[in-house]
Amino acid sequence: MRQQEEAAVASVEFKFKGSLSLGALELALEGVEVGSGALIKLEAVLDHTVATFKGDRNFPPASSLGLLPSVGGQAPATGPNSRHLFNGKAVVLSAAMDVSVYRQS
Amino acid sequence: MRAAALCLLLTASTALAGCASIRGAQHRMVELTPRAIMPMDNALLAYRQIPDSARLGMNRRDFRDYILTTYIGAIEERYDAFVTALEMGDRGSALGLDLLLLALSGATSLVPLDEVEDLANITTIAAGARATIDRRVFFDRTVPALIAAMDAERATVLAQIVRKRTLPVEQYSLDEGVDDLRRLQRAGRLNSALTRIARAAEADRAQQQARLDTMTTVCEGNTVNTVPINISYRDLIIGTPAAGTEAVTEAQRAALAQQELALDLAPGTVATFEIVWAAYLSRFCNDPDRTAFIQRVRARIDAAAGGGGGG
Repeated sequence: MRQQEEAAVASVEFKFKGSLSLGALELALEGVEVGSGALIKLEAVLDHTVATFKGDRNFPPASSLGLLPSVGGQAPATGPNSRHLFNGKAVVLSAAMDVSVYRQS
Repeated sequence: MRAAALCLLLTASTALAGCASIRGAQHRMVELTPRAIMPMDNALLAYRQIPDSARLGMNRRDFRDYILTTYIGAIEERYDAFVTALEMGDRGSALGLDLLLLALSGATSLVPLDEVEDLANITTIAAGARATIDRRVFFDRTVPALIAAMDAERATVLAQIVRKRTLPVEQYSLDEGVDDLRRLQRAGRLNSALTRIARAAEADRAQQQARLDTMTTVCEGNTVNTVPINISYRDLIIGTPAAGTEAVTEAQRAALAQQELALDLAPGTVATFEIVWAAYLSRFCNDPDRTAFIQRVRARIDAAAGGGGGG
């Protein structure tokens, strides 16, 4: 059995243009996850969405992220194959909004 | 039956009205408020007289402190009444609709950034249907921020007065004290609060912009095919090497990708996967460009391995 030595790695942040739609943002985040580790935080900073990734090499399953708008701080209910990860904020089509982040299995 | 329903409705509405009129502050302790305040022009005149008898038997310093204390008490009383009116929903008298509309038009640039979103939404609604503005929503979201800003400004001025009151009259006269009293009064104005909030929001904005400037922007143009393309790039650098390229280490692969990216690194910085990954994310904005780049890096790796690498 091969043992992997994992150095302590710091999380990494990327910014995304606020002009993206929610679907385009989701695709972009999934594209980053495959090399920067799992998404752990979403923030709306000025006119950008700032996403924080774990920064390790335990990459989550490809294309398994889900973003949904959340209303009143409540994460929308999802099916049995989705797991709610966290709530955050994103700039979508130039407007800041609350979003819920899911992992689909 | 109908009468019973009406009665129930009336009872419920009365109860709700009672709830809505809960005071936002305790009843005032009227004894705390100075009742007989000496008019300031009389006080200033008495302050300049030589005998203490002209100052109710007090020396200048005690008289100065007495006047300041009574006026501060009176200003506090009025400020408390103003804040209570704001908090209690006596909004029609405390603030007019004109101020509301004025504030709405510029509020998104004046309030703390985390509240801008809410205000922007309200402003959007107002733009479409001004007559249907829900004033309560606006006040509920902004009045606490305005009061906090006024409190902070007043606390600053009060702290300065308290500190100056330890000084002798030669260094802090009653005239200077009057100036401070005026500043204390001005600090309890809504426009002062808005100015303070605007300054804080601007500083906050600059800080957030500085934070953004340190980050890599991920280029748009992602499709459902982008993820597998990105995985192929990742695996090319840190995955299991293709047959015939095992001799090329991860560090060497990252360096080859860096060369293909024409990436300038600071002296002493060694190319890593994380570096060439971030550059790749920001550099390529469509799948054909990404694929072409990966093919070029693969060719470099094959060449480094002696041309024996597989696809």
